[in-house]
Amino acid sequence: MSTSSPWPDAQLHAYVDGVLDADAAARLEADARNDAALAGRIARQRELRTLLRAAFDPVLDEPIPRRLSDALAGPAPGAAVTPIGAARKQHVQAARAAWSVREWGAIAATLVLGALLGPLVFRGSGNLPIETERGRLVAAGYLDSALSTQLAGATEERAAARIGLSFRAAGGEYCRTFSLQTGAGGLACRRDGRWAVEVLDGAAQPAGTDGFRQAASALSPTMLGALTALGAGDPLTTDEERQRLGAGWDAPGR
Amino acid sequence: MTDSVALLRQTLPAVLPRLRRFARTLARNAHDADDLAQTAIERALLRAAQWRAPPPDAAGEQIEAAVRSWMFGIVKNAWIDGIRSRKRERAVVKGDDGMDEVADGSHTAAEDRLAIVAAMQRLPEEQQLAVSLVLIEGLSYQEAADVMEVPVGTLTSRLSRGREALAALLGGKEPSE
Repeated sequence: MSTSSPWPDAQLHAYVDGVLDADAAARLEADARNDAALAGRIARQRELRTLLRAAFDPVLDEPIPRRLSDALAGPAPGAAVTPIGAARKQHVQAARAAWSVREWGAIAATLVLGALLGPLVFRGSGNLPIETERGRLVAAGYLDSALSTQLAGATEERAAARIGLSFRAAGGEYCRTFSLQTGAGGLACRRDGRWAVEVLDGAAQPAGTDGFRQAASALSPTMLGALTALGAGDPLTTDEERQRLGAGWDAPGR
Repeated sequence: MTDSVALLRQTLPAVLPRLRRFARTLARNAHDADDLAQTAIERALLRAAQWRAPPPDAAGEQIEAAVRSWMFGIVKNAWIDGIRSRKRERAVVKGDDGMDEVADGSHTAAEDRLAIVAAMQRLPEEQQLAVSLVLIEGLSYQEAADVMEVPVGTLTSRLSRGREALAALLGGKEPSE
């Protein structure tokens, strides 16, 4: 910290926060005009504020997740209170019941229900990672979060989902392969603001010791077929992925 | 249902985006943040009768601010409730939490964002709260102090230390080492 200026940090902070009294603020501004170091300190404080807002403001524009709007609807006044754990179970059961035969049929070729979703549903560590929306399967909960925010290959100790590789399909949309701790793997593409699950593939590869499938090298024939069908381009580089983590995964122009 | 409970329910949806943002500044990832927001909403609805509504002539903005402050306090408490386990997790991931992004000189907006999120996670909880409430949520010192249930002087000193720590982290320097 600079010590040449008589202005202590506390007063600079108050100034940047807009709570320094008017007289002191005027003196500070006058001093800053003749003192580049002081002006720099003020600028850095402003920049910190700007960076913080830029990092977290995008949350305000995200769609509200279903479970939060459900929570807002809340228990009816006077109704028996449902603890959070039980509410989740009910939610899961409702979600399972809502899956139509048509939806199951669409993915039946690559889906082994008992092996895949049984363990996922009843692990009790969170919500269902996949849900239906207008007749399609979309990522939810920790899978949605991993697809949107994790770098490919990142192996966070407690992550419930990992990303294998990312690419753009021939149609321009971004797609990512993923594996779940249950040993299941799959492929999701960003369409209409959600991660549409294209492939869910449970049985092809044995899980590694930590439950995860062994990396992207172990792509099953089903997955390779899906990649080919999508016209997958070269995998995104880490830098390209970082850009997407910041700017979002929606295809440009949509 | 009393009028104040109805008012609370009616106002909550407008407050929700900022509630999510606040939770996101505290939790380690988006999923945990929404867990936190959900817990807070559930607790708030259970205790809705405890909410003290502003006077009947209050403007919509004042009502929203009152609901927001009350909800922030509930988020804060829910977050603190889970703090012990989070500390253990933090110890495990220390040294591998993305901070190597910070000092490599090249900055895209996305990298700035990752660096900020990682740096926030490194602050002591009380500094993280102060920074979040004042610098991100834009609460006044008094409002932030009320949410944190501390005197204003305590809030400003935590805020000050949080700023210094963030500046040091983002400048690529370890504070005091």
